[in-house]
Amino acid sequence: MNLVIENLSKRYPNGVQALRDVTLTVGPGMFGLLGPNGAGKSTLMRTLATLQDPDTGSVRLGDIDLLRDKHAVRKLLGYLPQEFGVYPKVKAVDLLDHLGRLKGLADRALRKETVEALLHRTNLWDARNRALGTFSGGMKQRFGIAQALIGDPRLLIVDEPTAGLDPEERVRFHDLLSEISESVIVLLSTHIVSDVSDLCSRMAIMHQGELRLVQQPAEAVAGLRGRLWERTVEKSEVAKLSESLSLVSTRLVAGRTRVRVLADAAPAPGFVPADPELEDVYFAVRRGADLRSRAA
Amino acid sequence: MLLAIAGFEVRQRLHRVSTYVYFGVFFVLAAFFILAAGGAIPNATVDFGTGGKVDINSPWSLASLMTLIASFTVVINAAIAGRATHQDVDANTTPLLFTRPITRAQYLGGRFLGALGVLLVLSLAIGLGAFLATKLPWMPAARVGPQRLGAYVVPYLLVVLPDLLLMASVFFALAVLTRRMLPVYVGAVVALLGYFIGINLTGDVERRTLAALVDPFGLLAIDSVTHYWSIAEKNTRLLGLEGDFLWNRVLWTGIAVALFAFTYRRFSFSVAGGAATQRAAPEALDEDRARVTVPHAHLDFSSRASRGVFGALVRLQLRETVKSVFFGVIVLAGVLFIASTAPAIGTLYGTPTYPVTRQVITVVAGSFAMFILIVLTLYAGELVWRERDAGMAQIYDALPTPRWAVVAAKLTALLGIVALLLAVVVVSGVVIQAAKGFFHFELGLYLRSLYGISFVLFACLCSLAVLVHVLIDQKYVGYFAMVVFLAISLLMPVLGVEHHLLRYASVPAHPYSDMNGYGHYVAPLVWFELYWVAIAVALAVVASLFWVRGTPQTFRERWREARARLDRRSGALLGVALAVAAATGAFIFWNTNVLNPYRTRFSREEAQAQYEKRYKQRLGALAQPKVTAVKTRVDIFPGERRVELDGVDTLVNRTAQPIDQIVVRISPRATVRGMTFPGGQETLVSDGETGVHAFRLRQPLAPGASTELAFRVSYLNPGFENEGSDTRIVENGTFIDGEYLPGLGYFVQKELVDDEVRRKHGLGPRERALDLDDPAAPAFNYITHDADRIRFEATVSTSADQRVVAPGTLEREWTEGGRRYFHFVEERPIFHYLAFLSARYVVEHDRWNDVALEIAHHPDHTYDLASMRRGMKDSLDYFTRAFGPYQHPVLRIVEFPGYATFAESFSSTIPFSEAIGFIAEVEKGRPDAIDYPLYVTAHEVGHHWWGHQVLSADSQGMTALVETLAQYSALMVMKHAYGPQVMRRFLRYELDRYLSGRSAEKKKELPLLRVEDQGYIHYSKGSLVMYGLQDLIGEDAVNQALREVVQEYGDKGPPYPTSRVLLAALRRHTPERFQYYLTDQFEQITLYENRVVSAKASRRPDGKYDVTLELETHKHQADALGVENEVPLHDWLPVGVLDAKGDALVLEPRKFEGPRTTLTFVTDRVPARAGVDPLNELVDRIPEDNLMPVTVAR
Repeated sequence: MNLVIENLSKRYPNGVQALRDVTLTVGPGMFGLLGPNGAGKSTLMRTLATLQDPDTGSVRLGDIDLLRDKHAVRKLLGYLPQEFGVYPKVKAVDLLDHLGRLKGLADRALRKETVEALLHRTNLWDARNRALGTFSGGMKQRFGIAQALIGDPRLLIVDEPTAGLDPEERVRFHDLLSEISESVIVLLSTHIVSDVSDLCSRMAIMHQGELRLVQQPAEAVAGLRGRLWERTVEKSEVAKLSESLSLVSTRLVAGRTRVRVLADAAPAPGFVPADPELEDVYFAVRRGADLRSRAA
Repeated sequence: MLLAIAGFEVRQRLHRVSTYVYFGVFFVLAAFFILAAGGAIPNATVDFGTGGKVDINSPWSLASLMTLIASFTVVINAAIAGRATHQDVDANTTPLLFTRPITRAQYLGGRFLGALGVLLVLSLAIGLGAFLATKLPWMPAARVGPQRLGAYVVPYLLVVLPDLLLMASVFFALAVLTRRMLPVYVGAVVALLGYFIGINLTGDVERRTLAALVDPFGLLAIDSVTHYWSIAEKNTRLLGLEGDFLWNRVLWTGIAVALFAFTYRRFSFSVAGGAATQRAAPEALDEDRARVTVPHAHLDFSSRASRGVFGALVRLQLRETVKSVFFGVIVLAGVLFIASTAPAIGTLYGTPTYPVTRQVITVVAGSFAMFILIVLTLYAGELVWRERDAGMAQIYDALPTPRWAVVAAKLTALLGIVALLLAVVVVSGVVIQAAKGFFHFELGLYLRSLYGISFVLFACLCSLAVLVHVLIDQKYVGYFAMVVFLAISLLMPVLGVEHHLLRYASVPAHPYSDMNGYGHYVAPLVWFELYWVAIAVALAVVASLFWVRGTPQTFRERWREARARLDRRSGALLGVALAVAAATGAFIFWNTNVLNPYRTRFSREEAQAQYEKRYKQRLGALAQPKVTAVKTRVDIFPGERRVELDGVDTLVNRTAQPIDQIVVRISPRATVRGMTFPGGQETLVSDGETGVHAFRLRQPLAPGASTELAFRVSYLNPGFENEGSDTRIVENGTFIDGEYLPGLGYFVQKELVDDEVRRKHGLGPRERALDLDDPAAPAFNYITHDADRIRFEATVSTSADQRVVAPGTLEREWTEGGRRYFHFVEERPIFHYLAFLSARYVVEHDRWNDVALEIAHHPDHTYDLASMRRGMKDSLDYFTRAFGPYQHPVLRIVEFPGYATFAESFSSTIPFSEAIGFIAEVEKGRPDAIDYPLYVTAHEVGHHWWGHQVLSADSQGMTALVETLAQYSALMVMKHAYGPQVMRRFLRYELDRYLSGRSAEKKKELPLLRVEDQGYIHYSKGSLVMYGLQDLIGEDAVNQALREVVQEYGDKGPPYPTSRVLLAALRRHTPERFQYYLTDQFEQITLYENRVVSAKASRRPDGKYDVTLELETHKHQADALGVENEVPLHDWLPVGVLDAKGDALVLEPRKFEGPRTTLTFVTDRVPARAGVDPLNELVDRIPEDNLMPVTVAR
């Protein structure tokens, strides 16, 4: 089963064009959607989660027309929103059970078993009888993924799941996601590059409502090999450099400014070849650089 | 800094549309009330006791009005003052603000001042609206007095500002300390609670002070202080800080300040910065984790599963609501409120009635209904917004829960809440009844009334509330819309929309009578409920179609979505619902507008106006024959609510000219089958709308000759009506009177009385009666001009299970053709004042000498029969000795349904409403308990002398001879039965009624001699005057005077006596030194201001006590509008010294000359209280200061 998105566009009443003619096909497995805040990721996620309608375009999930037959999609959907709340006084196990009921798990025994298993998987078993209002940020996110996983979803949409989590929690969360069956279409939307590089076998970079790059991360990184150069400079020199060279990124390393530049050969004295990472791909796309590999 | 914060707040508010909307609302409200109270709106009358003579812009009117509207602002006050700090919590700006270098005082003070400033500006709208309304051309000029700035400003300073301050403090405190808005709204509810509790307590004159203090808005405090202001005072006096009003303002302002101080102390920036999240101990890795596998999912979307989902959703929503603390607070507030109403259920003269279920339901459900409405409105919003408020909406919306289940579950949960609250009402009612020792619970009635009627109507409102919140996709605007809607639906009848088909969730009034149950109101109830439920179902379907799922959309997008969602099932449901609504609506309309005439208040008044406009000129002075005999057959069909009349009136021409035109008037409800005269007639007028039928006789009636009017009339009540159905012809408890029988000539009594109402219908003002000395008056009695005394005979039939009661002796009773027949004959001539009653009675028989006594009553109502029997016997005893023999062989009391609350005296037959005498609970063990069944019985029996033997002429003072003397007679019976303690309490109530009545007088007050059917004068003032007189000159002297009146005028025809006859007789038996009393009390309007300054006593060596009293006394006389002048005082006033039990050690009249008097007495026992006019026999606006405790020196 594939998720086929065609020519999706959306413009908000305040004039913002959130989606510009987005076309994409996603198969089973982890697909990362990378992009800065305001790129249109959440709009796309919400549309795919049947919560929002686009202005034009179509989406098919397998045989189902997602925009017209939302109810059918919801039966197959698991959704972890970017921001969500919980009923603070309700116990975790009770709310998970309730959400399972609403998902369609009518059989009480089966539901109980499912809920318990998910609580174990998300390492929330010990906290199952605690009120959700007492959960830390990481625990809440794990609860979120637990409710998204109820009912064996075929399409799992995860929107900015690791923002605000400390490193330990992020690792846990990555572990959880990686265990999801490979026959499930998982769409992971994030602005944290390492989420995509750690988890996803395919990705797209989204910027200002458009899909800029759709590629496997490894290929994208490989495409930069040999074309990335770096040099450590004083802060005051950055401005002059940016005029003449296409800067990919400027960042601080141990307190000093390191610039990276995209060029076929060393652009200036003092530049050494850099080992590209996914992050560089990201920055490059953002700056509109042409990343087509010269190699075939 | 503080001002900067306040200024920011104010500027913010000014940028928002809602502020201007609020301003507009207040402005319009104020203007509307002024216009309505001034009579500028044709169908609307609003009267807060202003009567017709108080200027609409008088200081008193404006103070009342502005206070009332200020209390409406509670909701808006809550929103503004609450949001003042809550907006920071809501928008999460607290981390930004609280890390700034501002102090607590600056933050709290600034926010509070800002909110208060906005509220002040908004409140200006009230004064402005009122002022502009008085300038509008539609305001009748007569109602607008001189404009005084003070009249507008004083209420602001004394009432509106303190009210705003108090309310703002309360809501501010709640928002700051709880950081949530729901408690703020609950606070608003509780504030209104204080007000309603106060209203309940104020009904009883003995608790008015408490009521005045409990009311945070000050409206009741104002009322307490101005209650007795005369019309002139209301027009000129500015409200001042005095008495209860002063204490009320001090108390509540103090509370406001204390609350703010408390808030200040408890508030802390760090606490408010955010709740600390608990960090659990470092999480150990779950060992089971690796082994556990998630079972394969089996998803079930069958309808059975969907129903299960629905059930789960309902349970969750209900649980979350009911568990919440604030829900508990609201319910508690409601229960407290019910508890406050409990003591006052049905009290009359301070004596409670047995808490019969129908009364308990009326009082408890009525008072709690407001709370249910508030809860319903509040929680409709909470339920619709619950997921979004919790941040869970996106999760929920992406789940495959069917939309109908979600919407239906919310609606069902809301219905469940309402059902729960109604259960609270039932439980409270039963508890109240049990607490009063009354165990006849009638649970079936509770269920029928609360769940069969109230619940259904609330359910319709729930559906509407949900739809409003769904369509208006903003929570607070949704609330506002619902409040506006509720306000409008409350006002609709005032605005002239009276048809219940047009008023959402409204059904015709359906009073419940123990005798008649819901009677003929069941049919309209069922049909209207069906109609509104069908509409509510349609609304619910629409709500489901527009249900918000996912991110917000424009309305056009939502409309498209709704149309897309309209599938076969919802379409069918919507279609069926609308079809049912249309069908029932059509059926209802046919009943209420086609089968029966559609009556509104205005149309009924208009019919009366038309009667006068069409016929007064033509027929008013037309000479008519007199009716000398009525012989009729009456067939009552209670099950069909039908009555057939077939009778003959004998007419005699007692004038000196021949009469050829005869005008007959009958009730407009009649269907006239035929009216004929022997010798034939030509019909000149046949006017069904006013009931006038005029004929020209083929053969004129010569002077002294007689003829007969043969009439056949039917009263039919097919189907049901919107309002105004005939409550006299019912299934059990029929009571028809002279209105249903033909009368001759033009009836001035049928004209519109109230000058304001007359003006609305295009009529000028009218005098209420002929002048006392008008020479034309004595020719006619004031009951009816068309007869003096008549002979009466009737054969009345009814269904086999009912009995008939009518005036006269029951000669014969038989059964025929499955119906029962009764033949009544009146042996002596009586006045043309007849009645027929039929019901399933139980009859009690007794005797007094050779008079047969009967009480025909509803089987369950046996509570007061002993009082009534005692009343009948004691009265007959006393009156026979005092005034003369009783003229009939029988005396009957008959119960009729409580649709009206009065008792009336026909010849030998006294119909008595179930509501005022049959369920009274006379408190045993309380020495001053007022036995009002006995009192009312004695009063009605008294009418057999005053009204049936002696009847006054139709002029001013007519009721002094009839009602005042009946009152006096009843007072004497009570005095002998119960003693002076009871009289003191009773006279206090009469004094209160007199003073309140004169304050609300719409035309002019008059002295007792010239009373124009004003109840507060002929009943209440009359009681005081006559009781005071018999204390002065002695009971025997008064009775002798009255006996002379009976002997001279009893049983005679015209010329009828006027009140001057009474006064002359009393003067003949009053010593010279007391003659001033009769002048003061009958011919003038006299008020005293008496008080005891000091009361001391010392013990004498011989064991007795010397008592010294210092008294201050003033006398005033008033004109028709209450403008008073002080006059010199040379009067005999009663002075009393009472012991601890309240018995009189000394009670005698003493002569007073001038304002200050010192008196000494010797008493045998220890004096406890002493003073002047201890029994409150004199009209005194401050009766409490007549007595004071005696200080006994050792």
